[in-house]
Amino acid sequence: MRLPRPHRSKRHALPGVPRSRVRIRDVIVEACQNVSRSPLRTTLTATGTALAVATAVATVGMAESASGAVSGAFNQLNATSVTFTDNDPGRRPEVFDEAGVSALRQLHGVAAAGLTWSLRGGADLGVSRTLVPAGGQASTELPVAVASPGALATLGVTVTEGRLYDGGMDNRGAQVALLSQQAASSLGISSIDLSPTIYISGVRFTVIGVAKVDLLTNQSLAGVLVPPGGAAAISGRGTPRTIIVRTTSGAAQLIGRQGPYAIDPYDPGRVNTAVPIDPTQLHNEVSDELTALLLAVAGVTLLVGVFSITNITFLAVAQRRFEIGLRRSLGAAPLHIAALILLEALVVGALGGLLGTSIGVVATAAISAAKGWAPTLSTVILLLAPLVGCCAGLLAGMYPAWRASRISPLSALQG
Amino acid sequence: MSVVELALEDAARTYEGAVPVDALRPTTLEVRAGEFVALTGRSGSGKSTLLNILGLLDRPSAGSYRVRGIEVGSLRERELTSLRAAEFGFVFQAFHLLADRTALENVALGLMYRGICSTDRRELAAVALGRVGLAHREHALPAELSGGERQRVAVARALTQRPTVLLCDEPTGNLDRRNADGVIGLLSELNASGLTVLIATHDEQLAGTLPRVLSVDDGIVSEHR
Repeated sequence: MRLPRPHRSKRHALPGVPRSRVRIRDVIVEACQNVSRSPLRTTLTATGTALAVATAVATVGMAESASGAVSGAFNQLNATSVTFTDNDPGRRPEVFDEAGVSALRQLHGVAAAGLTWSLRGGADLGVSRTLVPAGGQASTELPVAVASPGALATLGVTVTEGRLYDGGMDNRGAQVALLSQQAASSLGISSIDLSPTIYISGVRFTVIGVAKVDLLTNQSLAGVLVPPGGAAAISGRGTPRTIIVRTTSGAAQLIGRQGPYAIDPYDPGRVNTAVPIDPTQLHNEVSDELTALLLAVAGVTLLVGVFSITNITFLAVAQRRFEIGLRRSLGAAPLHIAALILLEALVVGALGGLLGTSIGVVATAAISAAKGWAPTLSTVILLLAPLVGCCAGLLAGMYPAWRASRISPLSALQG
Repeated sequence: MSVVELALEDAARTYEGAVPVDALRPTTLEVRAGEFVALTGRSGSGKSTLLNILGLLDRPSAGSYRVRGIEVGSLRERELTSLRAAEFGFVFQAFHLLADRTALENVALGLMYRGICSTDRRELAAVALGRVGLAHREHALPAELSGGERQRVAVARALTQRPTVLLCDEPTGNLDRRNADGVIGLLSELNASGLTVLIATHDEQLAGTLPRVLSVDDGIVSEHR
């Protein structure tokens, strides 16, 4: 068989001399073969990148899963509670009253609303079973809160015994009271079957029920609850009035903005609003903070990974000095050698990226399962992570590739 | 009269350092197409330096060198690489085969830098192996080959490059007499087919059988025959 003359480029500076050239496909295949020929070296080289990418993927995965869990734990009750307080207590006309509550109820998205405030205690606000002189020793200091029937509904107050007071009792100015279980216990009331009475600041109230109160969320309701109509009979100062609102799901932010205008259209700035944290914002804040912190860790690890590939590739180039010299003597141009080494580093980086992504996904799933979170990982991360490995490989391969391209065939073959 | 393939004119090579070493003193020399030339001399006499300059693995530090009329002193690295790959084949004393590749893959290696596709590379390598009598050892790794076979693989690798000049640096240095004779016989056949062959050797017996002998001593090249 007659050996064919290879392709001769017309653009070559040396007429009649074929230009040294290599097919891109051949370099890719050669790089893959070289990488696969040393599985141990390849594994060791890729480990740094794999760990870095795994850390990054697991970091983002955990941050997303954790923030999802946190916003899930941010329960419906808190997410739909809005409170309005008076910035200027005592100012007339009073807008924190049933009229203000009614105006709020007209807003779309308000499920329930009510008025509440606390009666300030002191020696003249004792609560007792029997009528005692002011400052008498038999009185007990219990918090006394005024809550409209609407406020009871808004706060989700229920009774373990007896009943709640209603709008009719309130309007009539009925002097009725609800006791928390703790208050009933401290006043020595074990049953309300016989309609026991108590005295608040010397005013007689009939206990009509024992309220079941979540003390974690409603600390102010730990003592005695009375309706606004009945509370009018009690002398003494009160804390600024508060209108509490339960909104439908997702309406809290909107009601928080509209509420002040409903309560006091002439001076909405008088109304101080407290709205729950936006769940989306909470989700993002948690996610961002976790991601920023852990990505910093992943970044450092990635730097270590890049350094690791650079180091091992550099050592590999030194070990393959003879092979590189041989290739040069057989017609490989410096650029061909650089491309080969760079591609090998790229392949190692890509392998590290893929391995790291897999480890990261498994780690995210395992940690989420252990914590009881729903594992969450965005598709973008899954696509981006292997690319990060490729970039790390390219970056790491640059210096060794440049050094390899500078190896002279003579020194390599003689060495 | 055949054309001048290689021409040195007052070419010299000095290795710089604390004490400069004149590895090759000013030399004027011509090698014509189809010649079979032996370079003889003691170890360190400068014959490998001369061979490296002739094969474009090194450049003279003084004088000029022309390959087929092309002055190589002004060539860029890329052009030098192309010219080297196009004109020269190399056979080394240590064979210089890649240990983790088969004989066929070793022979096909250089063809990758000619832009030849893998199928053609394997076909051309198989032909070259057949030409040196190793068609049956295509898939053997270098460690599975004898010294003589390894050198034949190295010759086959040089042949696939379709060189006009084959440069051999002590090609029989690591071989026993029987294998050495086999390799020299092969090189003689290639020379008879028109290939220019230069052999650096310190084997006086071998050199005595070749038509032209250049003797190198302390960097000075002299025509012995």
